[in-house]
Amino acid sequence: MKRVAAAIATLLISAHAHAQWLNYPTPGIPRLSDGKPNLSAPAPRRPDGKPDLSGIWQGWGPNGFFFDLAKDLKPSDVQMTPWAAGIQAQREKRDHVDDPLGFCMPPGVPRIDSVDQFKIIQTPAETVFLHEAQVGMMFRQVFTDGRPLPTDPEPAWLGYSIGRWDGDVFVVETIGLRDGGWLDTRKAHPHSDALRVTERFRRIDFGHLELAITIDDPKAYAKPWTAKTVLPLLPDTELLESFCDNHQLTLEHRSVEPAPPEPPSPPLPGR
Amino acid sequence: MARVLALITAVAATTAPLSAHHSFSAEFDVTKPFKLTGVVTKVQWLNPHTFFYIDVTDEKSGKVTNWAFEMGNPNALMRAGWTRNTMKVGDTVSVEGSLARDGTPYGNARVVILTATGQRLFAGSSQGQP
Repeated sequence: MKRVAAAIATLLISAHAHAQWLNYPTPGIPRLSDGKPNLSAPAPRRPDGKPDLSGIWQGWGPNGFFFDLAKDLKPSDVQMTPWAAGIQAQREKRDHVDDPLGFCMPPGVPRIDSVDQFKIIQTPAETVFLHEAQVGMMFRQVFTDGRPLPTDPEPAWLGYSIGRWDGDVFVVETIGLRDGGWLDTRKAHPHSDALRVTERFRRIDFGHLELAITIDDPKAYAKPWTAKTVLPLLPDTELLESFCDNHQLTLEHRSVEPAPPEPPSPPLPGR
Repeated sequence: MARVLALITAVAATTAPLSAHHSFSAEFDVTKPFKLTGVVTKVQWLNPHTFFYIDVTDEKSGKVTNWAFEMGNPNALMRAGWTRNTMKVGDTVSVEGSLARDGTPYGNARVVILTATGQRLFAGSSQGQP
């Protein structure tokens, strides 16, 4: 019995056996005399003069956005519509056991910014976000080639994104997100299929990325609201593989009664 | 030999939790801290949470109970210094954390102590977050 268990454990662990380059000096980053990364060095720039956002950024962290995206805002700043308030109340009453992330589902946008870590790869025509999330590896394509956002897109977990520069700020607009999303876990702020997310990224210095997230969702909130934070750089490491294989084994320890169905997004109100 | 240690051992969590994809308070009772020692029988590196199991022998009755413990996600553990060889089947370990509310032999691990070396490892508990 124990031998079988050991064999299973070995098999399961082998999927994560390659630590890749968990601790490997990142080439080309400014360093102090002791060899440590100089995280307060000036933000790098690309040959075209635009800030270079490249690097691995820690989304999960002390900002607490994972639990409550609106934690630094006044309740009056985040006024839910009756539809959204009903959904939020049910989720919170059930102690947020229904959070899709707990079932290894994608976190959506902008919640993916507060889950684990991600790498930004910047090219002239698109900026790519590679996410190493505990619910799997994901990517976002933020196009900067001048294309418009799609009209009436097929709803998607991570939506559709285009980007532009506003001075030194990289502004990302995202639409086409699926109904039923969670913006955070403890407060379980809902959003609708009409959510339009604006992320404003500004690299303050080499080691810090300022991020302002604006939630514009007329079906769920009376007015747009913005959460601001600063994400730290993760130097001298790389992204790791992450998949939800054998996730069902984690559910053996969780007995969650199915939640009552949530009402779908209502029609767009006049604003 | 595996043995049950003191059940009530309040240990201050000094490190920020690595992860909490689901409700800690719904599943675990922070007012029920524990410290258990036993022999590892299974390790499952799973997303979004790692699990491991230990056989705990009751000192008085000799009864063996297989306990399950939840930890943070595998990559968070690796980034905190764990490797696949850190805790192996057959190792004796002590575990500190919070017990499941439902009374089953299940808990949320906050710290794993390797008996052989005394090394204390942060287990990526979601405790401290509502």
